[in-house]
Amino acid sequence: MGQRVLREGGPAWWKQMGRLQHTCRTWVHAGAAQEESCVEQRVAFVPPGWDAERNNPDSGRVAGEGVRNLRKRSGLCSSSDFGRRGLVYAGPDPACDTHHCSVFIDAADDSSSVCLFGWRVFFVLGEHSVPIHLSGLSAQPEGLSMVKMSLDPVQVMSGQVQDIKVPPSSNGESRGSWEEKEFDQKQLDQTTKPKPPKPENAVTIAVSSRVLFRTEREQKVYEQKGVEEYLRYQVEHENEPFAPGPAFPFVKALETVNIRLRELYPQSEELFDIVLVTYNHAHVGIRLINTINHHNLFIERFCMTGGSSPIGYLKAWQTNLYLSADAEKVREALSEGIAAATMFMSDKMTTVSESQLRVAFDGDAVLFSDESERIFKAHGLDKFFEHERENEDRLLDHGPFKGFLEALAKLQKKFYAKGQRLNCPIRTYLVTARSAASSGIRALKTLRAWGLEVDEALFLAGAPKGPMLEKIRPHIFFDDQMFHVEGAAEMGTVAAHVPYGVAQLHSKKK
Amino acid sequence: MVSVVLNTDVKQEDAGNAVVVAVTSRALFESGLEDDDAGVWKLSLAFPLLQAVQKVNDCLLEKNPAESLLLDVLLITTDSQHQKLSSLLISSTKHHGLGVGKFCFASEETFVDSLLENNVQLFLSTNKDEVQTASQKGVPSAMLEARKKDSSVSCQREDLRVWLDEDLISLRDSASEPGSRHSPQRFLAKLGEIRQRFSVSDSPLWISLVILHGSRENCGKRLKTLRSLGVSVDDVYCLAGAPSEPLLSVLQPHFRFNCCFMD
Repeated sequence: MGQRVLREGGPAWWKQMGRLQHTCRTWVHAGAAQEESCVEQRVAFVPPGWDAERNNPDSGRVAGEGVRNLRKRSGLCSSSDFGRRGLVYAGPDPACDTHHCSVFIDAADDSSSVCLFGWRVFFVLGEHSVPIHLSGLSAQPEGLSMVKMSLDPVQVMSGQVQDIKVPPSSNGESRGSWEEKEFDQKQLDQTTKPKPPKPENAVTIAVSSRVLFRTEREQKVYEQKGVEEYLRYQVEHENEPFAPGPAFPFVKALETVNIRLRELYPQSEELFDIVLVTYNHAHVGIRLINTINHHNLFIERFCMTGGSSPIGYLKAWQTNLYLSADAEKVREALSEGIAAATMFMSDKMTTVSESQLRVAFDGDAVLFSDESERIFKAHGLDKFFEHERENEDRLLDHGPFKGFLEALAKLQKKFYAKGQRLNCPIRTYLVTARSAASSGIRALKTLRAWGLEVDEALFLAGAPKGPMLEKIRPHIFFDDQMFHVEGAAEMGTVAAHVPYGVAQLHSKKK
Repeated sequence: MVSVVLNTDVKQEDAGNAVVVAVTSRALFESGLEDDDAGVWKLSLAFPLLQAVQKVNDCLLEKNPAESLLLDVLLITTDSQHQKLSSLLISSTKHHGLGVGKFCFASEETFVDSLLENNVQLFLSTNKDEVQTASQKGVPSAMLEARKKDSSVSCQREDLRVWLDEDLISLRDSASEPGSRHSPQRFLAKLGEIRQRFSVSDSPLWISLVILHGSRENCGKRLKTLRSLGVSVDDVYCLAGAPSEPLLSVLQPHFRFNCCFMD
């Protein structure tokens, strides 16, 4: 631990945004930090243009003149971490508020002032790091600059410098002065609610109430006592919000991406639009609205159909994804060309990133058609390999989720266009039983021909998907085979079943 | 001259408790097109509505043969041309066996007064101006919706499907009279009462609430307002600006009623 944190992580470490589970009190102070007594918590500043993939930790190559200057000035010269991945300062401060951390950067450089424009900041705890929203940053040629940061991991940082007045404080000795400087918390909050986007511009995600929230108790009332009693129960408990369900972290992550998109493209309607769709009767309406309010979700569009099928207008509103607990409804949606998957309740849910949306897809019968799977099921593995080899250059046909991956890729490109490739809050994964050396090639060629890329492609060559997914921690994983869905769920990954293709004929019905 | 004629073929309802629904003659009949055999008019847009109203009444009476809270249909002419063709209207109605309780022969100038005199609680027309004029004078009114399954003479009886919304645009345009605010509420309360006669899953009346614009807060408030009036809707849609046509074609309401919610 300690200062070795950064080095051991390597480039992959920067991609990992774990959830912060600490109540550390720390502040970061330049010049006064002692290497030996460095606490594990630290703040890392990464200069703009620093490419995690390309810059080898040990290469010594660093972007930005200012970094070297700062390093020289800092007095923290013993650790070779500094200046390579950015600047790291750490130190103890018992006086600091648990949710705030003050950062002091020694910008006393007589040759040039340090410009921290475009730097990204991460708060590091152990193996996890989380980007931090900088509420204000300015560099002054002399003295220290004070920046107050919020440690709320949901507030994702924008790549821009905010120009607020920072009182120049003295060189760290007078603690009192910076403790008093309270930034207006409201500045960081979103006080006005933005307008929901038009369906044709947005990526529409329809979620049913039974997967967004946990409604098992109510389901039981319905099954045991009938619909009238069920509705009475719901109205009676109207002011009790439901607990989050399996799709909840996914929806929260979508909202995080929206916040980032709005920061970069304030006028654009190319956002995620989350629609709550339920076959519930309108009697449950007030309870659902109360629940949405309670969890502070940004859902303004919803349909409580009272039993009739919403697929008609979901299709008309160009729904890109439909998540439900009911396999029948999911099948109906799939047959209408809407990417859809069944979700299940699970007691085990590992923590996932709150700043980066991660979506994992199986290949065959999800992104691609089930043609290869048919061969495998009918004729076995050898025939499958032979078929794939012979058809290596023939593209696979598309599957139900190709469109959804396209929609995600389109949003990713919006981040890349603003220089946010490293810091992109959307990450996609292909997790397939195909093997990299052989059958996987066809999958990659197909994706490439479609102009689609996934950020990471994992070829498991038949190995179980659970452990790999546990490392990736996606918010959702789509697979057509219940075997894989269950395997993933056992290890705490939220997995959704896509009832498409030949695998449905062979799997046991749940 | 305005006159009201009772339809002797149909049992007259208790004026006190019945909900009087007026439908214009032009909405019910395709005028000018005579059925060759009988010399009567062919049925038009409003026919499915009448069938649905009939179904509601039948179901109400099935539950309680002494039920007085029924829907009473009044056929009204709203222009002088039709006003003169009273006998043809009556004979066409009787020929088709329609459940029209009364006829009212009025003209453009007098029809609203007739509506008021006859305690009409819902006025349905295919003419937008008529609907607006009647609303302004305090009669809850709505446009009849075209049905997807077009046949005006469909044998299967559908449930009565009512779409409630607040069309803020037309609300702004119409300057309503002071007394008119209560009328929509009175109609809604009656509607709610009828709905209450049936259980959740087994009802010939289906009420949908559609919030076209505005937030879920808005929606929550409307649900509570309706609940306080005794109206429990069956389904609710908060569109937040999404186009309503796809929803319209799925729900297929007989008419869309502007609730004129007052905040």
